[in-house]
Amino acid sequence: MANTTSSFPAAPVSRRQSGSLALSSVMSKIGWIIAQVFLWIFFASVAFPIIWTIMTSFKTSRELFTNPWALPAVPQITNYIKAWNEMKVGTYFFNSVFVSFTSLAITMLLGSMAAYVIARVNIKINRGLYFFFLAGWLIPYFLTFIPAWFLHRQLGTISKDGGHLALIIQYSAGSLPFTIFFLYAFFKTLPRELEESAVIDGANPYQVFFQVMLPLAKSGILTVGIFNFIGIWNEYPWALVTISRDELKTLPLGLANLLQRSQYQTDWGAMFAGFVLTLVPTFVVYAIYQSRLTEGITVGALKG
Amino acid sequence: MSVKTQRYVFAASFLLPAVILYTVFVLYPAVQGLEISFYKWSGLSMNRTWVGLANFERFFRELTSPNDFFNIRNYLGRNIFIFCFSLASIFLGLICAALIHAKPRGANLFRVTYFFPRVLAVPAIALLWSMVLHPDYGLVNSGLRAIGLEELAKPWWSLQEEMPLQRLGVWTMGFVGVWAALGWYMILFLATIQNVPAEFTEAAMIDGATKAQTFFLIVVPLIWETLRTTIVFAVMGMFFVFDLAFILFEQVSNKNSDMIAHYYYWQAFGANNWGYSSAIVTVMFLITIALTIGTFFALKRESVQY
Repeated sequence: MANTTSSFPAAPVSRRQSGSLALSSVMSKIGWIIAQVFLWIFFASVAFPIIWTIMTSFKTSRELFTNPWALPAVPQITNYIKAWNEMKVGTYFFNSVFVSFTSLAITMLLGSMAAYVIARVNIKINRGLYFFFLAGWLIPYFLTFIPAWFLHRQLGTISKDGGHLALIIQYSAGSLPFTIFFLYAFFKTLPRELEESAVIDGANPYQVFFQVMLPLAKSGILTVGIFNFIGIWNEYPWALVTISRDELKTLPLGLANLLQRSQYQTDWGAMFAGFVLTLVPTFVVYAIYQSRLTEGITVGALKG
Repeated sequence: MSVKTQRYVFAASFLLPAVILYTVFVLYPAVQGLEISFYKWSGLSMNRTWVGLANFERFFRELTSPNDFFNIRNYLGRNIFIFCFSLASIFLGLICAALIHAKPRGANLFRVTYFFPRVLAVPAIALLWSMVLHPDYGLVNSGLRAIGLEELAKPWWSLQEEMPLQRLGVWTMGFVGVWAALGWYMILFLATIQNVPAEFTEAAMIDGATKAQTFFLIVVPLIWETLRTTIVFAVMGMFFVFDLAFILFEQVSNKNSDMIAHYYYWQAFGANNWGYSSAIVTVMFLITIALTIGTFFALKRESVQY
């Protein structure tokens, strides 16, 4: 059976019905081939556009127009220099980094503190608090959109001096329900003995949380953190209505700008280069975390 | 301080920051959003006039007697159309998870690549596909021309057709949506399938079930809860789809592919009808609640413990 790992083990299927053995094994072979073809086609639909984009980013516009499939004759590094300088990809990138990490830090700290208390400290209203936060998950984003915009305008966070505050506040508040929901389930699974022994050793509740429980919840926090990060890093509509000054724009806004420019842009090479530059941080984060993403899902509450 | 008081002080100090942040910036605006639906408000000052149900009546009027300018029926139709694509991506994600779980050659490669679109920002997805499907220089059309299939090279993002669902661009957007979401569902189902004990599937196989039978009759019921959750979430998002169409069509080409979210976005930030816009969201919210609860119970099966 060693070599059947890569193909359907047809033998057990038809062991009993020797009459239809040939037919059913042929059918399952054909089915398996079709399935494999489908898997490879979808693989190509993800890999090809990205490889093509990277390839095109090294070409001149003329090369793209004459043959979009050909390799660049000479790799045009200048495309990247132009993209970095003219398209402000660097500015958008650092704005996104700042906004994402600040929001993430706030939401993870406050979220894990609240989730811990709701999950493990008996204060009689634990269940009520759980549903109180869960409700936020059911509220449509757009229902809060208009009043939140007005609220931030009154607070002065949507203005010249507001900087990224409107984004940071709304992103960290909006990520709380998911964070608490997920970490609640996670804290529930941790054994009680650890807390008790820390208390016997004379630790106060704050020390128990920061020195015992938080390190134990590391894998859960990391998983929620990644999901939150992807969501915050990519958020578009709220940034669109609150950020108008170019130097404050985050990457999604910058990308939308780039797309708008593509309508009248003649320097396609530089545009592709700008796009590839915005992908680089995503590639890096993804390369580091992709294995954890798969594992992490099983950790929390997502398993039925 | 007694132990009990100490515990409550600790709990309060840990809970309050989150409770305050969440109440002020999520719950309070949500409640206000419902409230604004009953006012006529330009959003430019604090002056707003109570108009009772007038905003809802207007919505109902636009729904029942559509004019050429704003056709809410078409918007909702397109939302439902795109929703079918979300269901398709859930189904395809499930199938891919089952296939990849069977460890074909390249299983790891598939797992890693399929999920990748999920980490891309929506504007990045829009940009990528607008270039790949560019009518003149795109990867697809130039490839089709190169192999002599000129007539298959279509203007993929065209919104030219009169009949709303015949617009090629809306179909293309649906497929791009599947492309972006499939990997996420695949990973989710893969993680769940891996938790199904092998004895169940092995026993079924020994009893003569085919792989497909084993999957649909044994594995799917066992992972039903996860499947149901994904469908419920798709229903919850049905009327709030916004980003992809907005960036591709409204922002870039100024054509409207309007779905309901674009209409209320425009009513608020384009026409300053904040009250009416909120009323639309409120109606969609209520419909969504009803549909979500309906789906939740309609898909309820006796849960299987393993």
